Amino acid sequence: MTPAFTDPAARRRWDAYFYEVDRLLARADADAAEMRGDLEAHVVDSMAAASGGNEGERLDAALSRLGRPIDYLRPLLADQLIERGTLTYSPITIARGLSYAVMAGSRRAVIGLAFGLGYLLLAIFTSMALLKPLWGEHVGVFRYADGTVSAGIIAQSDGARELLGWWSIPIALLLAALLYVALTKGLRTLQQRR
Amino acid sequence: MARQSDDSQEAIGRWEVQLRKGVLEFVILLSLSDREQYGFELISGIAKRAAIDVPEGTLYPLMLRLAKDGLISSRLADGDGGAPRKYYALTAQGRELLRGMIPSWSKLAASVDSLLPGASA
Repeated sequence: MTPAFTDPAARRRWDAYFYEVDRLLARADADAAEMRGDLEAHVVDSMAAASGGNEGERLDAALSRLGRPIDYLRPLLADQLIERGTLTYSPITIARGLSYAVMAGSRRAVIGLAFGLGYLLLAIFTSMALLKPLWGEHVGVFRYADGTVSAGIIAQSDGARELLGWWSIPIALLLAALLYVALTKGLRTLQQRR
Repeated sequence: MARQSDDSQEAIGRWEVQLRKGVLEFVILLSLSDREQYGFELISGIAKRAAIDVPEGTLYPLMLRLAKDGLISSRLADGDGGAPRKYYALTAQGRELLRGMIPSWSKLAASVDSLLPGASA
């Protein structure tokens, strides 16, 4: 539905705008794909409704009123990627959705960061389970001579007593699995409440 | 002093944007309660009648969500120039939700108004 521009520069600006729209919508669900047509029709209507100015000026004004695609499509992408990721339990899709959420606004940023930290903790538990057989004396729960206790992957474990032994592996895996399910279900619940 | 005034204007601007975004869904449902409308018509009507000036692009992801929630439906029909336009209309579910939202809004608006300086207690 590209209008027949007489000004080649205006045509280039139209193409550049909708190239950005296409790039973003490529990551969205199929039902969002038809939004390109809606946006094109909107710009055409907006240009037709403008009273003065040449073609390029009317296009620029219409695109400016519409806003930058990243600004209005980012929250949509965040919602859709998180929804898709939580349904398929895909950590990459969830991470991508969270990154859009963090960039999309303050409330979303707080939620995105909170869940991001949760997934970081999950990565630490998984790493503990994987590293225990290779670097056993530095992975687990350690009690030091002064009574303090540290857990995780510890570089300085000299003089400390490891409390869990090989149990670190199933416990870390169990915690990782529980955290993953809890975080993913939490994200899904948040999506449904929106 | 001027700096303080700028900061205050900026804070008011941010608050207004959040406020407008918050009521946009309600305003869209209200606008569609009269008759079906296409995207540009809807957003220009909202800007004109409700003085809600938001980036026009924010309308479309919101319309997609409202459609997904079953509150609005859309159909393609010929526009003025012959090119097909997408017309949005309220569904029965959307109309029912709007009927519930109107008293809530009236109550909220009245209670906030009563807190304004000069309002009778």
